[in-house]
Amino acid sequence: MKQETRNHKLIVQYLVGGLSEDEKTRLEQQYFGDDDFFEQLLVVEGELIDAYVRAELSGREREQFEAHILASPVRRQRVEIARALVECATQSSVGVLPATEKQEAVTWWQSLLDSLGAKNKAILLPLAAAVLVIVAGASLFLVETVRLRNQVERIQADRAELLRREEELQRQLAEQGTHNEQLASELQRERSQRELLEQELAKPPGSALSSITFILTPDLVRGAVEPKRLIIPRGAEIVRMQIDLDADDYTGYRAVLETVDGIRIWSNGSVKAQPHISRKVVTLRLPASLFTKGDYILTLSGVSAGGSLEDVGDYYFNVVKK
Amino acid sequence: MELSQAIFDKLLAHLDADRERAGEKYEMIRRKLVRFFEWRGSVFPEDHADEVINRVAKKIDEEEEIRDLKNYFYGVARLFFLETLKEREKEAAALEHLPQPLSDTEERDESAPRLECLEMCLRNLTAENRELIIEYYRKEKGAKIENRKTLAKRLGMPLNALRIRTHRIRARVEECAIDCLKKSPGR
Repeated sequence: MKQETRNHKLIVQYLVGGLSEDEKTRLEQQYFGDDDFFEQLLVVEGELIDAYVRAELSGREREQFEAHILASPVRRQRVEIARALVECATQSSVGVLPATEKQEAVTWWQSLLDSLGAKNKAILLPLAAAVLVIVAGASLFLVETVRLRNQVERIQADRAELLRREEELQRQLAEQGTHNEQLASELQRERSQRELLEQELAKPPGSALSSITFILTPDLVRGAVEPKRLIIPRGAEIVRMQIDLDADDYTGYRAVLETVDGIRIWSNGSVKAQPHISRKVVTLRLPASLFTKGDYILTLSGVSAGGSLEDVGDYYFNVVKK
Repeated sequence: MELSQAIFDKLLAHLDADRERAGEKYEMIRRKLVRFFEWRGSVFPEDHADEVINRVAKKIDEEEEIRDLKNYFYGVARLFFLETLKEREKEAAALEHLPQPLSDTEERDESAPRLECLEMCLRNLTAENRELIIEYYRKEKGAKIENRKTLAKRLGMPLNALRIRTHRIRARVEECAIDCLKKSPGR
């Protein structure tokens, strides 16, 4: 239940633009991979919009909602439709629901009596008695049938609920298993990469590792239509990545390198900025063997004095090996 | 860039060997992409979703090795989003020249076609679904919660299942209303 509430809060924060870039990315990866979680997001979004149109949001929530959600024409339209839906529902007399035609309450036995007419009154009494006996018998039969049917339906519903719970548990078990496997394989990959890196870096200076330097600047993120291309020539052993910083406001930096499909291939949580000519730069040294042909994204975060991580930038590039 | 039928077929085949299931998966991915761009504040989420699909289809056509297609779609979408940040600044500037949001009085005048469309879309539902959604959204605040609990009990389903069921009906109504508003005169 606590997990559910935490998820709900996280989703609401995502929808009103209140998450950090890292948190957004994690949540987005989750809903791209999990259809049920995506549906949960849509449900929460619908409820958030309803709460807004019914004026049930607190002052701060309302401000966040208006600043983020109402800024988009598509979402404004969703809000207006929700407003209309609530209006329709609260005044259902507007004719949304087709009025059920009230039929004249003339029962079959009244019709029968009418057709017999006043002239046959002599037979009415025994006939009425017989009808009463039949009706009583039929009613008992009907009551018993309904009781049995309700019982069967209840049992079927319980069975369906049990099956659903079992499926849910199996799904959770499978997810947990996959998650564990992913963690183990990630750990293994990180270990091998670290070993590889240590081996390459441990080579004596005389062995003169051939390296290639690649400079990443913020304009790679915001202006470029195509990702920057990094050509790694045959024989290159080290790729030096230099990131120019606008300012050095952090005690340290964390760099994470991922493939475009989100596979983490390298990370370092204790990077320091260094002076370079008249500015500060972060320099990363990575084995060229880490890279294969494809698109990559490097995420740099700053570690604040309080120890929290803040986004510095995402740098993306395309690797070509010659 | 328009996708050729052959490239689109390759994309579908990559999604699932069964064409019908591939179609369903494609729809789901497109829906996620549209919402991703919408939630990230894009003004043209559908166009951006289509561009991402085109790019991924092109990569598949070039036989790029893709380990996890869903993650790959997300990665390309994120990269494309970064590319469009600059465009968004321009979009925002352009939007500033659009008319200001309507005042309450004007809002009421505008609500007529919306209500008409919505009523038409509600009428298109089955009687059972129509009654369910109207009942679900009827009450306000505390009464709303009690009303929903009663409704769930009456239908013999957990409250969360009722939430999801009404959400699905609502999504259909919303799509229908958006479509109807596009077609209604003066829009």
